[in-house]
Amino acid sequence: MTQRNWKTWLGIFAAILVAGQGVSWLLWAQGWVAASHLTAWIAWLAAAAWIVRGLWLWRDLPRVQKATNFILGTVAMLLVVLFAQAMGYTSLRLAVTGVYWMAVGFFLGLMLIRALLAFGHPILGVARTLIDEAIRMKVALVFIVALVLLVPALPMALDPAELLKYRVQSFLTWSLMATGVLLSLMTIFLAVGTITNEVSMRQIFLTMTKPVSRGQYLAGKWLGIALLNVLLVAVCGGGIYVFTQLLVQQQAQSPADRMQVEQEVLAARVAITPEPPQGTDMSALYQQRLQRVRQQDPAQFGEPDTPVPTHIQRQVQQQVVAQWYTIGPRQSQTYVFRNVRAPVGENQAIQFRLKPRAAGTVPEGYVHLDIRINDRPYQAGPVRLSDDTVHILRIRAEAIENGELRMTIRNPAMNGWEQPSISFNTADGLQMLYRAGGFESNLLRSLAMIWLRLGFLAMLGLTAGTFMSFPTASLLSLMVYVAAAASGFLHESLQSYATFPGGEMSAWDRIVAVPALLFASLAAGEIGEALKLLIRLFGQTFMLLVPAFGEFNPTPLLADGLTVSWTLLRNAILQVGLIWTGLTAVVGWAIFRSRELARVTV
Amino acid sequence: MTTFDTTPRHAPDHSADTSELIVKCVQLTKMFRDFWMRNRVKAVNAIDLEVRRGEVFGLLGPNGSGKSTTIKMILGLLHPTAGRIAVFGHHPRDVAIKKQIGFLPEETYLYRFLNARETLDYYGRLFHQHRRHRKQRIETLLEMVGLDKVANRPVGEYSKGMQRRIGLAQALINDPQLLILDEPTTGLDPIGTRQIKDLILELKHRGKTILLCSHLLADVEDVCDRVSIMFGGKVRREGTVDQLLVQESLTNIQTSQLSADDIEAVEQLLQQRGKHVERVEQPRQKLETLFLNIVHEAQTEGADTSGATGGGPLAGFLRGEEGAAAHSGQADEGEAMINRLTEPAKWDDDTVESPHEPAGATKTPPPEAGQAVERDAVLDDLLAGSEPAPAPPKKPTSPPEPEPNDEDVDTSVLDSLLGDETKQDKQ
Repeated sequence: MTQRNWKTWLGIFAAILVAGQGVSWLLWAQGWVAASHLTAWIAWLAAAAWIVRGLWLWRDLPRVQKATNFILGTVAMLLVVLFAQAMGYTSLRLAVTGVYWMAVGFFLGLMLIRALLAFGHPILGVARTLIDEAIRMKVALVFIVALVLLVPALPMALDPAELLKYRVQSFLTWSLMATGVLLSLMTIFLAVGTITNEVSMRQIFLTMTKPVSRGQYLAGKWLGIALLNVLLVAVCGGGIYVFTQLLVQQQAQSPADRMQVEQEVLAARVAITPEPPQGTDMSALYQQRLQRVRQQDPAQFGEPDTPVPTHIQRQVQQQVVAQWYTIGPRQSQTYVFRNVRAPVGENQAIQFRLKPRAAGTVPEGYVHLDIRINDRPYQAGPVRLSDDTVHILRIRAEAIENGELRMTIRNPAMNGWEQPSISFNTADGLQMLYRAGGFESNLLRSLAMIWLRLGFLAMLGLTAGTFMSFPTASLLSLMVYVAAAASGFLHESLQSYATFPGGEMSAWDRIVAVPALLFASLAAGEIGEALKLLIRLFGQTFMLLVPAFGEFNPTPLLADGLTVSWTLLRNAILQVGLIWTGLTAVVGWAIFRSRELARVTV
Repeated sequence: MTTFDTTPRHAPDHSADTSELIVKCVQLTKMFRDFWMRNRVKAVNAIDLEVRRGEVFGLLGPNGSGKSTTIKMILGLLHPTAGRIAVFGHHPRDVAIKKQIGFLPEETYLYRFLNARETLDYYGRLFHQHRRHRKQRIETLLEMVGLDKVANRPVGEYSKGMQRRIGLAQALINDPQLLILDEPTTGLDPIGTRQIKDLILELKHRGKTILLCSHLLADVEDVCDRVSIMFGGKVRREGTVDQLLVQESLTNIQTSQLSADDIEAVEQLLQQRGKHVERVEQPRQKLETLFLNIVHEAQTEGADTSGATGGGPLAGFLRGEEGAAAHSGQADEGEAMINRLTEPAKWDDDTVESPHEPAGATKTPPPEAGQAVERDAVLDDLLAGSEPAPAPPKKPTSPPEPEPNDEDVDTSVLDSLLGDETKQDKQ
């Protein structure tokens, strides 16, 4: 146990190695190869035995315990890998190796973070203790272990008969989703738990009677969770990257499948949609349509020549745009894609993504379209495409003229029959895609966005914990998380759940107008309607307090090979990182600094 | 031995600077309100308190008398409903003053997942202590509280007494000017209790201020200079221990054992002066003294224990400068140890000098020689035996004397009562 003992142990260890190797070399030099090998083996075994003895002797020391755990983990991993190799379970071998390296990476990163936080400062002290708490109190560790096991195990669950493209997309989607969801839950429980437990178990009495301000305490807690999340996101990101690369090396269904993986999944593509023409053409179309719908249905759209309410305006505009995306029989439409750039990388083509939908039945489920690019035909004769299916046509970069691609699509006259109207979805029915970067940087930006969301959730959990008990604070944080993650969907649902009689209005108008509307509904005996309005109002007010995570969800973009742009990341930093996290921090600090930490006990 | 003791049990401490107030509470009130903000209970009711630099101040009272609430307000953990508090002249929630405060709560609230060393490391960081400085202090403190052998075990596995010890160590990590102890001896065995009391006295002699909150009256009586007795949220009585406890109408005389004849002579003499002896008895030693002697003997014999080691290091640690002359190398080590702890934190990342602390306040004020020697003898006897193989002590390990200051006993009355005959008996 003493230092001298330790030195003796090291001396004997060195002696075993030197003597063993020395004798082995001597025997080798004499030409006694077998004896040399045998001696070397014996020396190695003796050295291993001596290490075991050392670990046993100093088993009480934390460092020795760590080293023992590491050695045991490595030995266990090697045994499983050897077993899997012998039995031919390749995916098991890969999964176990992945789990091992992710765990090693995690623990090395943890040591690095603990070393970074070694300086004597209250914020760093609080942060470091939080990390120890996360690892040693098992709550967070459960999530971490689940993640480290899940990411390498996911590829095993994929069906090898599936197209490789879909396998890679599934893996990316599921692994990123698992990372996001599990880390979000861990962050919420850790943040809420650390602060509520310290208040209820009163450890905070000791910390707060030291020279630590309340703000520093919160900052330390946040820093600890944020650093832990950096590590976990990095480890999971590394795992996802490595397993994606391994997955890509698997057998593809066809050369086209492999090309799709490389060009449509493992890429960061920019998607451009055509802009509907502005100006007189569109306003003429709008006026025409408005007149027509008002004549057909004056009850809904209002009498002709009366003022047009905002929601009717928007509805008719949407119809006009949808009409612009529709090509009637024997008609054509030109869609202009601006700011198209040559794709980055060798042998890369611009991808024209289209999903045609016929308004009626088409023979054998195929639609035919004449396509011209910048007034040159895409191919001789019409292109044959399956109805209601996504297609990608490749276009050479040379076709771009002044950053523009003009696609003229014609619904051709067919021999003997008329093809019905063909329409495209206004959101993503027609897109021009070009490769703007690689998968790696896209993955990095995606991980950064996931981390930003976790940073907000950490602050949210801490803030909730400053004035609520563990169950209440967890519930509130989870509610906000779910609402934030599904913000887009919730907004739409609330809008369609109850409609304001006067149409959509601003938040302020709503507050002023809703009481009057409520009274009107109640007076008319429509209690159900009044309730629905009330629920929508509450829901929308709640949604105002929730950041729109949905806008900053990188997973679908990454899995679709779409670029998670720097602009998007910058907006996420600004909105989620600075505004939402900052505001939550200010609220938490304001509550916490005026809170009495002890209870009066009489 | 029959001892006639006429000296005050607590000699006035000249080191106490009574002019400077460390804690001042004026009309301090804490009302406990319910959910509807209705006043329910007055936990503390318009109390005035003053704790001066260098004194040991006791806050006494039964359970629920408001002493813990008062302490929590002084620490800024509760906000007063009315009245004012100044700690080192500042608001109690001022972060800067916390550098000067050490606090041991009534129960030790520790992170169960940290071990003793990590626990102290954590609290050291909060004081901006540099790594080297921190490590040095931690080792010294662990040794002092007898937990150096079990420092790698999570504190969640510690017994209550061991948790108290680590709690005490964290309260001392910043070498505080003001030490606030809430029921410090709860859960401690008599050895630990004695150590805490010795520590309090030692810190006091090193110029520190101690605010002690307890309902264990014997503890308070042994160490406090002044006490406030609280009940129902109000201070019922306040004053020095001597003022509060002295029975002006009686005089106790202590001397070596007297024969029946001697006693009769004393009685006659007193009768001549119009007084009479009310009671003559053989004094008993305290149970605490007996207990500590037994433990001390067991330790000297080398009996084994799995708990915290005793206070051998504590004795050396606490002796400070005063003990250096009377003891061997162990004493020097203890002195060096406490000096290391108390020396200005020159490695601190962010050292903030207290504006209220006079220069050299951390240095020990020169105590009276007799006091120091007496205290050292007691500590030495109590604690020397806890080392596994103690070096033969230079002083005989005679049973400790709980009643201090024989040298200061005014024997003139006794001499005149018994004349030369008694003196010859003594010789």
